[in-house]
Amino acid sequence: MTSIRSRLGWGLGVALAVLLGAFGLFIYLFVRHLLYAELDATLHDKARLFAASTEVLDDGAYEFELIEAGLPEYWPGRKAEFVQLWDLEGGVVLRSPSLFGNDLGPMPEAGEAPQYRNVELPDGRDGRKIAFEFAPRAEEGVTLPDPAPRLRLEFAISREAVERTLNRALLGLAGGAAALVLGVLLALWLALRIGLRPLESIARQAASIGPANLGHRFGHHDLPDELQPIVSRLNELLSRLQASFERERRFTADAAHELRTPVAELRALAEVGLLEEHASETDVRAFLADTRAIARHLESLIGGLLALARFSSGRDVVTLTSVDIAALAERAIEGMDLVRIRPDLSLQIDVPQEAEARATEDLASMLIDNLLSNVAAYAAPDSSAVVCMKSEGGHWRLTISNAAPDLTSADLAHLSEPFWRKSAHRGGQQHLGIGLALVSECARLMQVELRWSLSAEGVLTLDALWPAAG
Amino acid sequence: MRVLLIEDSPRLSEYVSRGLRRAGFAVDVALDGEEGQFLADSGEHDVIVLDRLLPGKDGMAILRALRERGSDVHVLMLTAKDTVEDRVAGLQEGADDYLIKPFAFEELLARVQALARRAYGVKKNVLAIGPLAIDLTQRTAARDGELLALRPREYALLEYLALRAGELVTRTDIERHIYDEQAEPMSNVVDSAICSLRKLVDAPGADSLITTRRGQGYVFGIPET
Repeated sequence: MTSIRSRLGWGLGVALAVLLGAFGLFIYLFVRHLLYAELDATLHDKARLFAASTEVLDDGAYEFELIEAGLPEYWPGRKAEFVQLWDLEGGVVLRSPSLFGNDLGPMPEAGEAPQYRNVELPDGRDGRKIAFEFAPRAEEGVTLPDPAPRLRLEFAISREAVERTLNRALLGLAGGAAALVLGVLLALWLALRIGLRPLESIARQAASIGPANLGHRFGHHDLPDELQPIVSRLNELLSRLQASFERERRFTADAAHELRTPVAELRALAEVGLLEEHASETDVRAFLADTRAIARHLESLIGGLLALARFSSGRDVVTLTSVDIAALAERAIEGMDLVRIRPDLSLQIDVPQEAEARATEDLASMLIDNLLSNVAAYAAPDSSAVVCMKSEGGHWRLTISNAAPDLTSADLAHLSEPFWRKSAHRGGQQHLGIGLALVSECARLMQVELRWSLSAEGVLTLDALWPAAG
Repeated sequence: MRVLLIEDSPRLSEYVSRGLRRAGFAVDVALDGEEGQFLADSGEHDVIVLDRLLPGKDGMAILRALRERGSDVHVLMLTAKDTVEDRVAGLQEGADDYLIKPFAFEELLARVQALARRAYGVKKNVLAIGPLAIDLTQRTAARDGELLALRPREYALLEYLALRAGELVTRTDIERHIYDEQAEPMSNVVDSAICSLRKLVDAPGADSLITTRRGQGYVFGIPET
């Protein structure tokens, strides 16, 4: 029993059956109580009438008017009633003829309050008996002794009519309850079927979703209110999963794509080189120099990819210390030799003597190197570039800007994506395409805030806010 | 056969062109899309090896422009994009073949040769003309079963003439299809090359397989008696 429908069906079915059974039992007992109350009232009236008709004669004997009147109910027959009177010493004063000399039972210990009991009548039928003590009245003109004599009366009548009615009521109730249970179960089944249909539809849709159709979204129409937030959340999760898959797929495709060109170069170089049986030493050295350049490119690419994977895995524990990022920037500018690489660039550098920020030297160097390398690779020809660093309210702001007329503001969101380039071609570039992705990861690890902006004149500016040390 | 290689990787284009030249092809190289389009529009190439992602102008745009212009030059797309969708898109745009980077140079060469043969409606691998048998796959020629020692350009000239056997081939045709931009043919270089080829392919004392039509060009084949 694992389905919600089974659980609900069984749970509700059993609960309803128990409730209906309890209700039926209550009705039965209530009716029984009413019927017996009515029977007891009748019995009481009959017994009281009999008691009232009993007189003490002047000789101390008793007169039983109703018996002596020869009423048929006190004689054997289908409608026979049974009376027995006892004196307080246990002597039988009267047995109605219907008793055929039998007792209705042992002498009752009843007081004046009537006591009722089910008994088996002498003729074998089920009966109901009342017993109470009473003082018979004296015949007119007779003075009763003091204390007046008291008798105990037992009066019994058949309760078959009541039992028959009760049995019919029980049968009716059982039949009604069975029909009601069946009806309720059917209604329950239908209600569950209809009620759980949206859930089953969601389950079917969810089961059909795989990596190939992550674009599927659950429909919101006609969904019960309870499922709306679940479906909204599922759709949101699917969107994130799809974006994640897409990012992963694009990254893998881009990485493969990025590796194909240098591998193709290496293979062409080797295969064409092998065809040249009489290559000169100059040619061989050129082949080897190209091989080394390609290997370096591949090494940088693989190193960058490994760094990206390591940073994004979150396995690296980064301990931030006080690092002079101004010195790092100076070293990076000198090491890269921007002036030689891009003599067309008008470079404006404004870095203070010292700028202590919370960072790690390795990550900070990687961040700054990649930013400057990006400027060297992508700054528009014959344009100007700015590298400056300023203290600003507990932070050091490193600003790097360069002309990037081909970029649009929509491109800013992609700048940190691995292998994203404005132009799709790869072959002629030495740039790896993962520099800004590394910058983004380094910044995240060092809690450096990055802000990209693009002016209307097409100047791309990066502001990196470093928490100042101390 | 003249090939145009449009590839933005300087190293790859250098080594591929070197290998193709070594195999006897005349090769022009363009490192960006705009230059590639300009050279392709000249219509002098038998085969174009076209990278898909190029600076300046995309390879697909170049191909589209060629087909719209009515060019039926054979194009081999060379690219790092390897999905089925990419290949289908390239072929639907009018590429004749598709090769994914990295590739074996031998395979590239074989595909370029196949496309070059198709440019002249030849499907056979061996062309037999008189006593000559020219193996287009092995890039060898034999006379009466004896291999001829041909240099790449001599073989290229022989193959070009053989592919157009029976047709009048002008000097301009030869200059366009056998010599690339790197070569600087002098005015008599074609006559000189034909003269050298005759010495190699013609049997001593027999009529030359290359007939000169004065002022027009050359016809290759068994001379009419």
